Amino acid sequence: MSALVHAMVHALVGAVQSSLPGQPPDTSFWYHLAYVLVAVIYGGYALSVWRRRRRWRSQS
Amino acid sequence: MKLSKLGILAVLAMIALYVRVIYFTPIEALQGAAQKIFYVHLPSAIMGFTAVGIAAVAGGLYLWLRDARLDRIAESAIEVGLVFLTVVLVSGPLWARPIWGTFWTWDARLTLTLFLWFILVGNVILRGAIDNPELRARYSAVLAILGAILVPFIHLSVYLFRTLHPKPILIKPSAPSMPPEMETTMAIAFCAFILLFAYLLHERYLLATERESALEHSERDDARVVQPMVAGHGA
Repeated sequence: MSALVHAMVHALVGAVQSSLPGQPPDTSFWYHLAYVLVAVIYGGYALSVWRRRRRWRSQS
Repeated sequence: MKLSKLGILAVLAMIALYVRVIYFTPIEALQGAAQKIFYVHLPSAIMGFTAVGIAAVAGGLYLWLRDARLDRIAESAIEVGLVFLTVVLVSGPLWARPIWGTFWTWDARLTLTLFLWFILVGNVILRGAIDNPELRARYSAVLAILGAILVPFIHLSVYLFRTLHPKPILIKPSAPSMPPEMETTMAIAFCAFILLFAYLLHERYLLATERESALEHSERDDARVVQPMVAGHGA
């Protein structure tokens, strides 16, 4: 719960900071989403290869 | 799920990359944190194109030598390449949305990359649709070679056409135009993605080998079952 509050405060501070002149825009949502999806795609594929290998090994 | 040494190395390298990107890489002033998508987008694209190249070379050699191992290498490279290009086509639009204001635009580089992705999807579907192993390998090899012809055009598309996609800032004749901290992160990213690619390609090749072996076993078992029935019928 405290981690969630911390994340929300962090996001709020980031949004305020990025609205100030001279600060980089707050585009962290897209960056976080991309890194999560990349991990899901590669991890999911590795898992799929492992499951298929196990299936064929059990048949041979 | 037991990981091989290469698998453990790949996972550790990817964790190191994530830590480096999140905690030790500066945020770009104009684009903000979204610029960090670059560290997974570019290496995925390079490894995806490498996979297409491997599939074409292995396919071409198969057409010449007719060695089933070469077909298995091509098959593995096509599937792994498809995964890497999927990451490119997912991470790219997520980066484009906050910077260009749109997920997608039909400019030359994006369209050609999507076209290559469809060729790889077509190759996977083709392999699943043909039962004859030799015919399957031949058709797949030809399609892999056609896909590989597209790769240089994808690289040169930003020079040949007016595109929204930026020109290379790393892979170009002059020196890379990135700060040293970002260059270090990109170097780590390339190492991590090379390991990940090698691991996935190796695992996929082992899968193809084990599948062939299992199919050979089942065919031999079928032959053993059929033989006495035929002999019994004759008697």
